[in-house]
Amino acid sequence: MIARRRLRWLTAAIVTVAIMAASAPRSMADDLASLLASIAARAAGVRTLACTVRQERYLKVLSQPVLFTGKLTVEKPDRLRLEFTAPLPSVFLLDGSHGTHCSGDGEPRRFDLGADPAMAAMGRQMTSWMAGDYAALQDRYEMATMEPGPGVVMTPRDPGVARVIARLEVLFEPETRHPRRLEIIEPGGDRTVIWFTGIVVNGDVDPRAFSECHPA
Amino acid sequence: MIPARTPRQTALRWTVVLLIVVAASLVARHIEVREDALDLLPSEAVRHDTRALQRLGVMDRVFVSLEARTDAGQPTGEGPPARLLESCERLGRALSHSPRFREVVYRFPAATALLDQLWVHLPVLMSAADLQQLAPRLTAEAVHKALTEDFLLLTSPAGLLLKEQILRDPLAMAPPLLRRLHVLQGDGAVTLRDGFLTNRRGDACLLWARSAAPLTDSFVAEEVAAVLDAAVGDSLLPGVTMTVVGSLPHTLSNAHLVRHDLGRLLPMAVVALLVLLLGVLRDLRAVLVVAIPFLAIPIAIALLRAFYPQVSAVSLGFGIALLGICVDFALHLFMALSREPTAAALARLRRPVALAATTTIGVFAVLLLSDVPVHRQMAVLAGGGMSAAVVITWWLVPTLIRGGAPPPRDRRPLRLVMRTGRGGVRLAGWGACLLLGLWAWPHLHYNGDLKTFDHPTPEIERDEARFHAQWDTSGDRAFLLARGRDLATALDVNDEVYAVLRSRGVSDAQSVAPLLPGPRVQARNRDAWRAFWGERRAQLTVDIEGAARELGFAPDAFAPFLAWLEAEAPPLEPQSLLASPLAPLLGSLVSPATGDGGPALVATLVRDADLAGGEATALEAAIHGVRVVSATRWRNSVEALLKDNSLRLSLTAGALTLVLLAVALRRPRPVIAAGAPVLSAVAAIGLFGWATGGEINPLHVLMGVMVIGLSVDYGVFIVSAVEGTDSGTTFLAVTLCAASTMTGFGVLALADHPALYTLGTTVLAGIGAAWVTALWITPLLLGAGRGDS
Repeated sequence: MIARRRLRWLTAAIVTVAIMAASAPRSMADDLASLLASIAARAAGVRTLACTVRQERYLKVLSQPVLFTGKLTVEKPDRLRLEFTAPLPSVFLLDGSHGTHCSGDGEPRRFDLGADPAMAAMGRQMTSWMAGDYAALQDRYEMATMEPGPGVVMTPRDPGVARVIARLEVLFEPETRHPRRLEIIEPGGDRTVIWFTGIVVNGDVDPRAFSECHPA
Repeated sequence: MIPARTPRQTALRWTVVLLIVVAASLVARHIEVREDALDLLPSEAVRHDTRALQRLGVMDRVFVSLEARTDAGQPTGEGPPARLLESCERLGRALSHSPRFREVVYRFPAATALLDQLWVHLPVLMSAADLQQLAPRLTAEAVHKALTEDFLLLTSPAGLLLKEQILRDPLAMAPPLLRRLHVLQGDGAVTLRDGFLTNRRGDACLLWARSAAPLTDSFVAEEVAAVLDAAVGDSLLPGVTMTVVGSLPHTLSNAHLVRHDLGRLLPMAVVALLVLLLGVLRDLRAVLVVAIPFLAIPIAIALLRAFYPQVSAVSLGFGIALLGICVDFALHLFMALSREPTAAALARLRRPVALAATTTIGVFAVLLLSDVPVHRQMAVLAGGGMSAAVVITWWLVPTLIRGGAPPPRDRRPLRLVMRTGRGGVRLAGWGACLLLGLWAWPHLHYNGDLKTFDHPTPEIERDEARFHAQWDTSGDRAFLLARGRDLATALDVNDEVYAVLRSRGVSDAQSVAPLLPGPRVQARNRDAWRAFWGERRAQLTVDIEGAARELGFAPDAFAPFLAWLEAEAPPLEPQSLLASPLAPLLGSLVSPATGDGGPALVATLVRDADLAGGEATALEAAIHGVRVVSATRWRNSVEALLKDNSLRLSLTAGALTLVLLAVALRRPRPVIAAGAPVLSAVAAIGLFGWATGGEINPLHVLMGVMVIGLSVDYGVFIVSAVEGTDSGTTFLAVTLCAASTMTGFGVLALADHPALYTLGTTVLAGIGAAWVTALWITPLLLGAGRGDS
C-alpha cells in the first residue's frame, strides 16, 4: 500500500516535472522575447545615454578588487566615453573604428579597432550593451533571462569574443528597462561589475567627447 | 615517261608515305605544348630573372579592386561601407576555395594573433638600435609610469581585450613590431580596416589572388576568368563594382582579338587561295598538290619531340607556317610535270629544287644558333619538316600527273618578262631601291619590348588608370631578388639589401626583412638582446616589483615577463611564418628553394625610380647574391639582346645563303642574280618599317627569315629557268607561289592585332619585292633580256 502510494506520488512528481520541463523553455523563451521587446522599445528612442558609473574590477593580477567611479556617455551606434575620476583619472573613448585611452599626462594610447576584428566587434557591442540594442546582439550571443530579473545572461557565440568574455549578465531597471548593473565574467575567472545610476537619455553631448580625452 | 606512272607504284608510294605519317602522328601526339613567355626571351640571364618573377607569381596575379558607390554613381566619401567589406570577404573566400587560385590575399590576420605569434621571437627581431630606443623607458620613473598606464588600461573596458598583452608586455615593447607589418604591405595607399585592405578614402577594397597556372596561357586565362566571373556574381552586393587588373585582362583581350582576326581573315585567305590556284591551274588536283607538303607536319613534330619534349605553341605555329614554303616546290613540280610529264623534266627540276631547299633549310639551320629557345625549336621543326616535305613532295606530286604526249617547251612567259621595260631603267630602279633600303635600315629603331604585341582594349586602359589612381600604384616597380641555396641564405642576403636601401634613404621598400630577418641578423639581435638585458635586468626587476606593489598589483603579476627576459629566445623559422595567416602575403616575396635545384628567392620591391642612375648595378656589385630586375632594365636588356641576336642571325643567314649559292652556281653572276630577290626583300622590309613608324620588332625578324627563305627560292628557280633548265612554267610558278604566299599571309595585314599585322605586312613587303625582282631583275643580272637596252 505504502509502495503504491509512493508510486503514485512518484508518478505525479514525474508528470509534474515533465510538464514543467516541457513548458519551461517556451515560457523562458517567451520571457526573453518579451523582455528583449520591452528593452528594444525603450532603446528605439535612445540616441544618447549618460550616467554615473561605479566599477568593481576583480583581477587575479591585482592584490585586491579596485573600485572606480566616473561617468559614462554613449551615442548610438558606436560611440562611447567612459571617464573615471577616482581613484585615478583616466578616459576610455570609442569612436567608430578608433579607440583611445588617456591616463595622467602621458600620450593618449590609440587602438585601431579596424586592425583587429575581435576588438572591432567588442567595440561595437559595448555601445549595444549600454544603449539597449539587444536584438542586434542576438545573433552574436546565446541569451537567457536572469533570475532575479529583469535581466539577461549572454554567452558569446564568436570564438574571438569568447576568448575574452565567458558571460555577460545585465540587470535592468524594472520600470524603465535601463541597465542597472552589468557584470562581465572572463574565462579565467576575472570579472568586472559596473553599476549605472542617474541615467539621462538623449541629453546634449559634446561631439568631441568621443574623440578627445579632455575637450575644452 | 616520269617515274611512278603505274597504279601499283603510285599506291606503293602513297602507302609508304601515309604509314610514315601515321607512325609519326602517334609519336607527335605525345608532345607537350605550352605557352610560356620564357621561350621568347634571349639569354639565360633574362630567362632566369623572368623565371624568378614567375615563381613569385608576379605574372600570374589577378588584382581586384572593389568599389562602393552610391546610387548616384558617386563614391560614398565615408568609411568603408559594410557592403563593400562583406563583398570583399565573400569574394576572397570564394576565390580561396577555387583550385584555380592560390595565395588569395583579402584580409589580414588580427593584429593580436600576429603579436601572439611573433612576441616570443622579439629578442631576435629587435636590433641593437631598437633596444637603444627602449633604454630611456627603463628608468624607475618611466617604469612606474608605464605600469600606472597598464593598471588604468587593465581596469578600463580595453583591459578585457588587452589583459594578456599588458601582462606579457608591461613596457609596451611589441607595438613597433606591428608597425613592421606596414613594410610588408609596402604600399602607403593601403590602409587596414577590420583586416581588409582599403584605400585611404575607405571606398575601395583590394584583394589579389595568384592563378595556379600561368595566365599567359590563353586557355588558362579563359578558365580563370570564368571562375572569377562566377565568384563575383555570387559575392558582390548591390552598389559594389569591380575593377580587375594584371595580366589576365591583357591575355584575354589579345586572345579574343587574335581569334576575331583569324576568324575573319582565315576564311578570306582560304577562299582567295582556292580561287587563285584553281583559277590559274584550272585543275582540282592543285588542291591536293598544295596539301601534300603538309603531310610532313607530323614527321616534323615527331622530330621536334626527339629534341624538345616540351615545345612552345609559338614555335609550333610558326614552324608549321614555315613548312608552307614547300608548297612552292610542289607547285613547281606540278606545273612543270603537267606541261611535260617526263623523267627529263623531273630531272631538270632536281637541281633548282635541291638548291632552293638547301638554301632555305640552311637559313633555318642558322636559327639553331639563336639565343631564343623558340627560334631553335622552329629551326628543328621547319628544317626537319622541310627536308621531309621535299622528299614527300618529290615522291607524291608526280603520281598526280596524268599521262599524255609531252607538249613542246614554251618559253613565251620568260621572253615576255624579259622584254618588258628597258633593262637599264629596271636595273637603275632596282639599284635605287636597294640604296634606299640600305639607307632605311640604320634609321630603324629596334623595339624589342614584347609589349609591342599587346593590344589592350580601351576598357582595360581605363580600368588600369582607375586602379593606379585608386591605389597609387603608378610607376614601375623594381624587384631586388636575393638568392641563396636555401631560404636562410637568401634571407641573409635580403637583410643586406634592406640595410643598403635604408642607408640610401629608400624608406618605402616592400620587404620581409623587418619581420623575417635571416639567421645572421637574428643571431646578432639575440646577442644584442642578451647584452642589453644582462646589464639592466636586475635593476628592472627591482623597479617593476616596487611599482607593481605600489599600484596594487599581485606580487607575481609580472614574474612571467621578467622570466621571459632571461630565457633563451627561439629563432624565428621562416616556415613558421610561411604557415601562418600571413602566408599569402609572404608568398609574393618569398619562395623556398625548389626540388629541382632552383635557389631560394626573397624579393624586395622598390620604385623603379629609386634605382635610377646606376644604383641597380652598384647594388648588384656591392651585395653578392642579389639581382635587380627592374621593368626598365629588363626591357632594355631584352631589347639589346634581341637586337644582337637578330643582327647575328641575319648576317649568318645571309653569309650561308651566299656560300651555298656560290658552291652550287659557281659563277658570280648567277649567284648575284639568285640572291637579288633576297636583297630586294630585305630592302623592302626596311623601307616599309621606316615608312610606317621607323620601328622593327622581333616578329619582323622572324618573318624576315621566312621571306629570305622564299626569296632565295624564287631567285634559284628563275636562274635555273634562264639558264635553260626551264619547262616553260617557272615564271608562272614563281608568280603563283608569290601570289599564294602574299594571299595567305598578306590578308593578315588587315588584322587589328599588332602581331598579326606585323606578320602580314612583312610578308607583303618582302615577298612583293622579291617576286618583282626575281621576274624582272634576276634575268637581267644573268645577261638575258638586255637586247632592248
